[in-house]
Amino acid sequence: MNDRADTSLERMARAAQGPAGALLLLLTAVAGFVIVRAPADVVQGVLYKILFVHAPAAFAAYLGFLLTAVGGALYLWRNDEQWDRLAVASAEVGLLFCTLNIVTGPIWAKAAWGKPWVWDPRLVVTALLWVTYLAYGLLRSFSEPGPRAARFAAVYGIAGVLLIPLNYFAIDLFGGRAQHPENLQRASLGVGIALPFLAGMLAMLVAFLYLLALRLEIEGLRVRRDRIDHENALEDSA
Amino acid sequence: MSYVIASYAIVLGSLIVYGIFLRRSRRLLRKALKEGRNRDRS
Repeated sequence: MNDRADTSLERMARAAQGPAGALLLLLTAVAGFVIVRAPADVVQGVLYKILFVHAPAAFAAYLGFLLTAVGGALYLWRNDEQWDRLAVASAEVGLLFCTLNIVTGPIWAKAAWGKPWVWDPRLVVTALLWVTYLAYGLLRSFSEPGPRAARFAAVYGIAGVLLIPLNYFAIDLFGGRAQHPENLQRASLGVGIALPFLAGMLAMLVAFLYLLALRLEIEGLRVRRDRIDHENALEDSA
Repeated sequence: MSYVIASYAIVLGSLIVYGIFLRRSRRLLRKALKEGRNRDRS
């Protein structure tokens, strides 16, 4: 088994942090400017501006969970621990963005629908997605590190990713019974809304990549520290 | 308006706090690694 600690993936993550951090600051400033200047909606006023963080958070969560499955699949295929570390890091960062999506949704719903939660297909599958990856995180936290836990988590992560298309197409699958607005390609983004949406999306995705790079580096450092601690303990007992 | 401000505050605040937490964890791990290596040499 390949269990190198400072792998090419982690070196890449370290190198990406500086440029990603600088780009993130720039994009946050640009997004803030264009979102403030975006016109108010005829029906919702400024309330619809929650869209510029709510939807991008969902896409960042999708990306995190997709990378969890890719990392798990590569770990099973190559038996290289760096891919397992990618899966762990992506799941945690993806869960954060999924949480932000789940928190901002009810704030919008409370103002728009009068109640924070309805038993709508999109909302229910999003909650299921959140619970699935919360369980993944708990599984990794409480299980003894090793190939057995990593293999089980890889299969779990690959199975969990099936919820993403179900979540995205939930509204189509349930026809006209969904209360959640339709997916963006079929809804009309009004004049002046596309640019702030794009800026919000880019800022959120770069934030995701920056945090993922940091989290991935920490996983590598943790493995090296555990190895040194183990070696020191062996020396002490000898 | 307050709903919008609350949403942005939660998102930005959470990302900043998580980022700070990760950077602090990284600093502590680097320090622990350095101390572990120094112990190895001595």
